[in-house]
Amino acid sequence: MKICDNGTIREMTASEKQEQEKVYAEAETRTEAQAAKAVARQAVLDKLGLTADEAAALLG
Amino acid sequence: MPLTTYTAGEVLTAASLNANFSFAAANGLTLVTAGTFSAVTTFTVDNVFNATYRNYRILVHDTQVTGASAQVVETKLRVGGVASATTYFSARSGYNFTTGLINADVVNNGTHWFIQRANGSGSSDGEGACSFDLFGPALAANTFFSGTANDGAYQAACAGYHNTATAYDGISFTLTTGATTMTGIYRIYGYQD
Repeated sequence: MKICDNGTIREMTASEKQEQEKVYAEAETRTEAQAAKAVARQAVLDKLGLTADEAAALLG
Repeated sequence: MPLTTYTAGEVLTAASLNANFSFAAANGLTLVTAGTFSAVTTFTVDNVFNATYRNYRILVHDTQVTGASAQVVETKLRVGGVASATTYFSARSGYNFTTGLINADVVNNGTHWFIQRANGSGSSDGEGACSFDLFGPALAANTFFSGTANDGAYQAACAGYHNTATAYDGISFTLTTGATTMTGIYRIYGYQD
């Protein structure tokens, strides 16, 4: 795992790797949350028998 | 001294020419730092914001991004080589080139600004770019930004602020997907007041 540190490309230090892994984990969590939200939204649309476009027209 | 405009046949003196150079140097944008990065997951630029300039223009062009498509490039302010990881607010609205659909990305009191998305090699062109103005990063006050960005799928307008009254001297850009890297260039200019 490499970093460009003020113009110098080098391997990350242990703490920098730890920070990068944290960024990856946080991004993964956000992606999963967005996916769960999309599933929940679709479930509601299915229950109402509406398409996403119809729901947008209703709310717009 | 104002900029001198010469006419045909007029004698150009050294003093007048030097005055024009001084005028040019004291106005507009001045390149503060420039660099390249190659096959990295993060790049940092430190000791670049200071009292010389209040506001800055930043250009980043990821000329090649590997791996998964549609990756977020997180942006953080730094001081003393350490990134601030709290109190970021940003909103980014993008239009898809193909579908015209709007994509909104919001960071509400988060760990970073979301300014740029970069497409990986799995998508159209493996590139991304952004251009934004940074307002008062070296002041002990909230820092604001506004700009534009695009990648192989979206063009976007973005803006935000960092809700911490701290003076920063640097900035970092980080990919958020593992086993991916970016290659490109950056330029940071200072605005003359």
